[in-house]
Amino acid sequence: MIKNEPKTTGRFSSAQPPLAPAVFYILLALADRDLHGYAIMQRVRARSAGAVRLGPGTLYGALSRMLKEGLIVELEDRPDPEMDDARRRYYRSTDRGNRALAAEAKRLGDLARLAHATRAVRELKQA
Amino acid sequence: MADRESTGKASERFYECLLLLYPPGFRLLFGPDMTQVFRDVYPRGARGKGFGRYLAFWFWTLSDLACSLFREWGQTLLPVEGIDAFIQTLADSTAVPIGIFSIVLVQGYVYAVLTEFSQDVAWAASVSSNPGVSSTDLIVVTAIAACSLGMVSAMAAWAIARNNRLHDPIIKLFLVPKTEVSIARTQEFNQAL
Repeated sequence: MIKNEPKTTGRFSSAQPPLAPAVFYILLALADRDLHGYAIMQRVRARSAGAVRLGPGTLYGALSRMLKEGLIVELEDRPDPEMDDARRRYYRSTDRGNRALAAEAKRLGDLARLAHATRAVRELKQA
Repeated sequence: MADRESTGKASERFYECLLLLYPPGFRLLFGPDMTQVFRDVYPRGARGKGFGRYLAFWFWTLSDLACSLFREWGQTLLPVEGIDAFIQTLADSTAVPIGIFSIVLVQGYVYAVLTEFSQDVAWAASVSSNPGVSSTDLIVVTAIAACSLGMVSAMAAWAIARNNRLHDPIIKLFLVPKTEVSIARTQEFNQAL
């Protein structure tokens, strides 16, 4: 069951401004399963190979904005109530969040292709 | 072990105090979750890996707190009423004494933690040599003393600032001159007509 269903219905496309790195990593962490705050932190750290380490302030600041923008929703149910602390709140990525993630992934992919096509990068790869 | 537990509890309490610096709406909504995350992160981040690790953990935590504080206050105040209201609210609110208090608090806490490790402080050593007083007690006593001093000095600074209305020149510096120049130009223009 979803708590505080967002009213936002806007469409995310590649024309949207780039997502903040924290938002992108959180959406990536929530892409295939519902997670609570600490699990998001751990997943972001693991997926970025330790490069991105979200603190509690940054994490919940980003989650607050994402909730307002309708990119994620808070769940009333616990995915696994027996395994976890009932005080924790779980979050799920919405369709809008998934579209934002896909648009950002496409934008980054396009940028990467552009970078790989430059002479400087080609020379570095050959060296 | 008991010392570690009590240091963990003290750190958690300290973090909960720092959460008071966030805008009330944000704090009420996410404060308990943030404390829970801190409780989860603390054992891995700060315990049992030496003082350097402990210091690095707190540096990371306080940096995260400082960055997110600015962002959350900005988000709370700026979109609604603009920059004028933001400056006015900051000047009038209790954020200033709380900010000063927290700086002194952090300084007091760091000092208290350092005294545990720098045994060359004469009075600390003499207190520590008393078998009835543990190093944790020493930290707590020093932190309470530093906090009390910080609170008194912050409140005094706030009272002086409010009585002398020290924030008025700052607001005038940024906001009023533009308005005055604009009015003066309008008056000149009207007179010329």
